[in-house]
Amino acid sequence: MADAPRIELIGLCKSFASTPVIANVSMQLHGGNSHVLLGESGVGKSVVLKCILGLLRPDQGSVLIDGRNLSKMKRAFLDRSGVLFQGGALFDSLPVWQNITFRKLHGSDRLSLHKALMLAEEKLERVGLGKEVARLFPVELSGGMQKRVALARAIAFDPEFLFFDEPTSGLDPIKSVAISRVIRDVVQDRNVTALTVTHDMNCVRAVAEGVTMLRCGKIYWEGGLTDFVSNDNAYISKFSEGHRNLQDDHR
Amino acid sequence: MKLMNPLVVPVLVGRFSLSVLARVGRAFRFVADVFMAMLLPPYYCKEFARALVVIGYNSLPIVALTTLFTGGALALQIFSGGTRFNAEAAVPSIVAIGMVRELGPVLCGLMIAGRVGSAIAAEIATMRVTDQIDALETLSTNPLRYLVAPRVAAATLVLPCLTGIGDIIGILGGYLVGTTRLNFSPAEYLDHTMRFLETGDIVSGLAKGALFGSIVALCGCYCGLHAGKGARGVGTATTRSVATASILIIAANYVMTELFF
Ligand SMILES: Nc1ncnc2c1ncn2[C@@H]1O[C@H](COP(=O)(O)OP(=O)(O)OP(=O)(O)O)[C@@H](O)[C@H]1O
Ligand SMILES: [Mg+2]
Repeated sequence: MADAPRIELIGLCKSFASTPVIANVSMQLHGGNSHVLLGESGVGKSVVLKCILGLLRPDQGSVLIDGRNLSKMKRAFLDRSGVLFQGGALFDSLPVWQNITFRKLHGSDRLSLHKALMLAEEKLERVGLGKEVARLFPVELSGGMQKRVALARAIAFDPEFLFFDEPTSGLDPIKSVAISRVIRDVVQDRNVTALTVTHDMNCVRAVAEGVTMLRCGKIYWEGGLTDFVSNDNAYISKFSEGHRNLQDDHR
Repeated sequence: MKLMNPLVVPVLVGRFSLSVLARVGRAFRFVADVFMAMLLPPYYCKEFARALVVIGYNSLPIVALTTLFTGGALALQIFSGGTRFNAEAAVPSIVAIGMVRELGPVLCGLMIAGRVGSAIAAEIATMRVTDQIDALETLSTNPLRYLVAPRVAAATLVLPCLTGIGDIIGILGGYLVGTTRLNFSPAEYLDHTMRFLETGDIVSGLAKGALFGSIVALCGCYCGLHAGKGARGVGTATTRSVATASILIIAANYVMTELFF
């Protein structure tokens, strides 16, 4: 992987009310690569994601997109990005199909309403939801369905950059495998640069090529997926084999 | 006893004034950004139409009831005051002038601050705490253009209309009380109402309405966008928007009255 990184984080630091959350986080994401960001709950994964998207301004450090500073090209970068927020963040005043096609409902290159509806139905099918969901409102959906609609919105217009914050939380095991597959396929089909935040090891195994692990707001471990799962570092194996630890306790 | 550092007081005063100035600066910057957003495309016509209905049409009952009763009460009060120096005949014109220049716009502004400003703040604050504002940005949509500009434009246009309607209903309230309780004949009451009312009175009242409308919507949107975390953040944003809008309306009313004096 000698090519230049598409997204590069250099020494990001961020505090809230003088409580440091992340400190000196540096990372590189390469084109066509699917990267996973791991870490305990509350360690600052979502904060890193929001810094990359320019939704939070880091106290120190910078984010480079294709070698240029994010602040100079935030608009263009977001135009080419798809984001799944941890809570879904669907617009509850709009029906599902308008949520999915929101990006192309206004402005000069807008879709006709009929085309938008068709496209939304197609994307819903992709994430395992029926066409009838298109006309419902987000409040009429279960949490897991909202998550999948949010995923459909993130991948709707073939973005170059994809960011998923806990895509499989709140889903049953069967659906989370299916969703992990959707993410893997999207990433492989179109050579996108993807960053997934998750705790779900099945999802990690399905989508990750590279893994970065945060601990106490700092980068604790970085490497490839195979190294990660076969790692004998106590903390990492505790993390990657959490379900087995529980079984042991039980015995 | 340990002596207090004599610099503590000036430091605190300085810090306080800096934070106040920063807040005022942020608010003015917000207003400027919103007006820029209103002038430049894209325009979200559907949002604008929805805001017109929510702010204008749905507020008609509350405005009508408030002004109707206030007009009636005003007629009674002026009559009881007027009898002390034989000025009962002035009731219709004072009701009309008081309603059109002062009470119509102020009552409409305050009622809309309570009904619409709070709703705007709560809606936008909920969007803030559930990441919907962030989602808007990542979907290449400027929240100022999509959420704020349509609401501010709608409120600024609709409040003068509500004020006009409120004026008429307030005068009607005075008329009903005047003709049923105070022995005015209908023709006499209407004649006195119209005789002293000038175009300037009406225009100044409607201009106040427009200003109050933009104050309500701007306060609602600003407090909503800057909401803190969770349900408490939404609650605080809502309270703050109503309190700020009400105070600003009362203060702006004085300033406008001086201008039109
Ligand atoms: N806007 C904010 N204001 C204040 N503190 C915040 C804010 N956002 C995040 N934090 C704090 O930063 C820390 C990290 O939060 P973050 O949401 O990034 O965790 P996370 O790693 O995504 O956890 P989870 O896996 O539970 O989603 C938390 O302790 C949180 O309290
Ligand atoms: Mg998170």
